[in-house]
Amino acid sequence: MKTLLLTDIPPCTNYTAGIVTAQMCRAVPAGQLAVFNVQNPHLTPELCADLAQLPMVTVHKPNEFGVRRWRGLPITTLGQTAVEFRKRMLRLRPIIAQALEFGRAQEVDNLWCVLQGQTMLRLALPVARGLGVPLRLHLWDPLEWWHRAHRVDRLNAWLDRRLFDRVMRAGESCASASWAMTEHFARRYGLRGEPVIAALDTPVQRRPEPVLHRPDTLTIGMAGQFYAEAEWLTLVSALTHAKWRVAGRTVRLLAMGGSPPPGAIPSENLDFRGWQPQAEVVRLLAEEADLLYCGYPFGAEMEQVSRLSFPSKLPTYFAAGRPVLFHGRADSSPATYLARRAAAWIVAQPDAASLHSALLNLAEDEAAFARFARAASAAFEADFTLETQRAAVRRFLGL
Amino acid sequence: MRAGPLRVLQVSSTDLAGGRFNGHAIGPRLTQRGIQSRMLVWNRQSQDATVRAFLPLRGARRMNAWLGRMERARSIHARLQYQSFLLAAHPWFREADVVHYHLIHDGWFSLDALPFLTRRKPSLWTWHDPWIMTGHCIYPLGCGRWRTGCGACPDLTLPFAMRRDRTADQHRWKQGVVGRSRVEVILASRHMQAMAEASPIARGLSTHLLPFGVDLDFFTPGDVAAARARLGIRPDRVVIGFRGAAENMFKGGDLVIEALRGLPAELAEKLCLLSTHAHGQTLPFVDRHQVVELGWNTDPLLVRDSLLAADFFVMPSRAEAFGMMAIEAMACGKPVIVTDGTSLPEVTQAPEIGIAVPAGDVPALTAAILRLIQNPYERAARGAAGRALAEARYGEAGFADGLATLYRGAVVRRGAAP
Repeated sequence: MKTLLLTDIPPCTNYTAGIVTAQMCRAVPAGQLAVFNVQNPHLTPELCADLAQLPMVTVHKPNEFGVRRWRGLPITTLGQTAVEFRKRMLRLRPIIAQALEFGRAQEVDNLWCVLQGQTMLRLALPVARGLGVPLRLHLWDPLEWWHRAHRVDRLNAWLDRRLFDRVMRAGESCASASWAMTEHFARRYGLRGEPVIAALDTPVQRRPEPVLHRPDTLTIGMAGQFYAEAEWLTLVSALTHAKWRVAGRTVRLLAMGGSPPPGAIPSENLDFRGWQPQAEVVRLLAEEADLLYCGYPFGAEMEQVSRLSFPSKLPTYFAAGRPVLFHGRADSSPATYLARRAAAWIVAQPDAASLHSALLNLAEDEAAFARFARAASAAFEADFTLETQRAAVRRFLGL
Repeated sequence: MRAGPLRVLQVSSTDLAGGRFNGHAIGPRLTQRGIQSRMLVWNRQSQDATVRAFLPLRGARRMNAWLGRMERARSIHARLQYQSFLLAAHPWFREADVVHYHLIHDGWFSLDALPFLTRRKPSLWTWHDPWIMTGHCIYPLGCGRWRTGCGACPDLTLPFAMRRDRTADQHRWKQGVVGRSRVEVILASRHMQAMAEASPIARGLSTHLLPFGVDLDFFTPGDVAAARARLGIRPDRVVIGFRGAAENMFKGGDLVIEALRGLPAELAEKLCLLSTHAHGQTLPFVDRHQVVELGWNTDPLLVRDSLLAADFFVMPSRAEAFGMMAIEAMACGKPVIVTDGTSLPEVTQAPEIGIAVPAGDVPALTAAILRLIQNPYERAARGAAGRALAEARYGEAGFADGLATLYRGAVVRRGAAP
């Protein structure tokens, strides 16, 4: 069996989605995968050396943002709708033709389609039908969130939602970003699903002593994107009110990622290390951080994302073997998982006082600290190793 | 004579919010006493089969919101909602032997409908606060003009606020409405009863004193450590419970904050401030104490946990018609600190059981808080006495008995056989 991966990000080393995609590609036996990459031209993925032999074609993806100007002139909502409608009707035809040509040349008999954004959604069915192969769908985020983030007009968003229903019903199987999303699609479309979440190689895992590292400091680790900025700012507010001290300890934030953390953080309380390779992130979190902060959006506009998606930083945190402080809605997908595994101190209230109270508990309650640290390691070993992920990928692809 | 249980219709703005005193929670107890209790509310929050929304029509709430804006523009309140006349056409109203009105003055019901409705059914009306006796405010605080007809109001900003002074007009209108209504009034405290006796609006009304009751099996001294663990409270702290809500000036949440500021520095890292109804109010204290803010919630288990986890409960209301939270705290075996000039010293039996401080006296409130922080034996003694008082006076069973007697009496007094 040979599978065509129809994706908007190639397997690579420098984007989260690309890193997970690369991990998934490694689960497919050599010679059984080809990649058709419909890529945003502004991205600069660094391809994985070990996957260099994969047959791959890259084409440019049309701009998915709802445009406010057309050929330099401002346009109305109606004009915006017309531009997006034109993309829908005309711009995808050559891409579909190229994908079909490549798929036929590769003699694929399986289609793995990453259903991220309106372009990929609109390509899925024509390519699957053109090739006459089973369609296997891979979802990262809810479509509604994508539409909102990209300011897609209401008519085209509505047409996309209807198309999404058709695509999902035509699917053979589905890989999704969380257990909650898998259950949601199984209920709604009767689609067999596998949660496929970022995973790490077992040797990367650390198991530091489940105690605070130093007697006078509390170091809060944070790695990855600040997609829950309001929640992060709440943490900063709580610490500011506490004069950057918790349980008699000076608080230090250890942050890693593409950009420095937002908020007014005194320089003596912030240690920003920039972007680090994943194994180094795990090592630093394990050896220098006492506990690890994961914020997730409380806002009503992000309710669906919160309920269905899963933060890819959590597996990294679990691999570090330190207690996780989760700050998000009680009905969010990560909170549900964490509660089931008893693998984090969950703060389900958006306010700063609740966060401070949780920090105080983790700093003072040695038993709880050790329990959450061990639960984090156990969660990693049960659900987020490459072995677990590869088995899920094979089930998803019918291998 | 119709066979079967006496049928009572409870009428209020909501079911769950305020359910402990608006006729919702007491329903099962009334059933045990041969009374079928059903409820019509403007905002239905529960899925209870004995509760229905009144006028659940598309647009009715939007229309009502518009009427509210009209009222605010005209400086009147609870007058334009003429949909309340339609209550008489509701099948549950028609089937009822007695109608019991609760919160009907919060902007969905026109009091002009009351004479019309109360002529049709034996009617009782619980005055949950003194608004009906004043020209506009819910609580008159220190003002005594409500005794003489209002007008020249010293503070139009008190809720329900007015743009221009129509307090005398409103007072006259209320006097007319109440005078034309055939209704018996239930008051929960002697404090409210004394106000009614002094009010020209309540002159000639038949009133009954019936304190609210709490479920003494639910609000009971229990496992404090477990409650604290559920709320994430450090086990070694003295826990001060209080109602937050800075926006509700009647409840005195701001006074607690001021009083807490006056506590000595050596108590740092020894206290936990546990508040309900608000977020952010106690955040400035996180550099000294543990702060747990539960915010506004209607989950009875969380409410009970908040009381169980506290070492004592502070309720420095500037005005209070009864004080249900004080009773619930006492039922959980917790001492309470309250303020003079409200119903609270009476219902908590201060100074023997509750501790009363002068209204608005922040140093006195700080001193009372400090006294209970430093005296665990006094906390235990007052807590036990509070529980005994709750058992003696404020049981839900006794409240249900009292209501049942009043309902049956109302039918008899009206000469209507159920």
